[in-house]
Amino acid sequence: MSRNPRSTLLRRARLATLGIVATAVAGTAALTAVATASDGPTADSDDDGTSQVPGWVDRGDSGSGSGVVPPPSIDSPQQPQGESHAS
Amino acid sequence: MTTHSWRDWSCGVRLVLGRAVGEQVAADAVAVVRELMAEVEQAVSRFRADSEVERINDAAPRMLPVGPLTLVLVSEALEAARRTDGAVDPTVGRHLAALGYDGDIAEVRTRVASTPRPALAPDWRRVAVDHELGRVGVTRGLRLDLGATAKAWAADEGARRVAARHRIPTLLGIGGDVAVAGSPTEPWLVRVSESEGGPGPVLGLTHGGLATSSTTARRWSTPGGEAHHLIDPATGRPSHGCYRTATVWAPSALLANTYSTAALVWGAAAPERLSLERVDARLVDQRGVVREVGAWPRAERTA
Repeated sequence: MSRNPRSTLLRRARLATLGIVATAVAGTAALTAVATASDGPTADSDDDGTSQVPGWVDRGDSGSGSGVVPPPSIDSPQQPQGESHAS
Repeated sequence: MTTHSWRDWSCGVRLVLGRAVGEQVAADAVAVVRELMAEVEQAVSRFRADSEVERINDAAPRMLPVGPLTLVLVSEALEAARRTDGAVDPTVGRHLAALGYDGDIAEVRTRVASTPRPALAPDWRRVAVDHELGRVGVTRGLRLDLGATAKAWAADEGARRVAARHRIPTLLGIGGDVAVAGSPTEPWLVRVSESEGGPGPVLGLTHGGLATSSTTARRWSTPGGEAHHLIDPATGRPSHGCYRTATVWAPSALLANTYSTAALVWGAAAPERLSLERVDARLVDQRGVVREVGAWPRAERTA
């Protein structure tokens, strides 16, 4: 028994349309989930609710991150290993 | 601890390895630094007619193909200018020469300059770098001088190469620009002074770099009076800010030198500008009064 070629074509077109719609819905949902879970490209949210621009390291008043510190022992007789001076 | 000192580029070089090593390792470390300094000199020395920078200066305004090292050093110099809004400008070469600083400082001090003052003001934006084809050019009337950045870059790179090659904490000082690499068990002790071998406080250096700039060093006589090598790009003349010496800590010796040089040009605005850049500094004004900026340690030991 042979099918009507026109109805076969219509059936395939409907299935293809359904497939495209399903893929679009699933893709949008996945992208939304990823975006929600990520930190976002423009701001970080801290535990206290404040936000921080990425790349900005807040040293505050502590000076943390500095490479200069008081010498280990003020009374140490050890001579300096280097000297920073104008030349 | 193994220390080697020698002189090059008219200044002292000091290489300190963080633990005792054999003669072969020490000799190799010294060779690494010497070789690097020779390459940098060949690339950008203003006092060598055959250096790539002098070829660029002589060919202005044409762009010339250069080696990768020159390309890096010119790019770093332009980055220093950009970071400091032009306070550290690599196009002051002709202005320095006009003041008589066109050779080794010992020779410069024996003669008087007679070169006319350049018509153009220094302007780092008139340097063209073609990264695709590896070419550099400068506008006619200006000459490149990378003295403010190349020495510090060499200190950073030399310390990094030695530390990586021998897996050993390394301190390298070139003409007062100090860079450290590797992870020492305790901070390096570094003395800060206005002149080589001069008195000054001692502090600990854990990482990054230290650089000191001063208008009290590299001075010589000109028909218009005493000059020094720190040019204010706004005037094309030696800077006359309220600070005579600036020592800066930054994540690298290159950045430290960039900001210590800029601080003397910035003058009264230096403390605030340095704070904005989040570097730590020790400034000495014309009367000798010290001002610390950022996290600069107050409890220093005087050597």
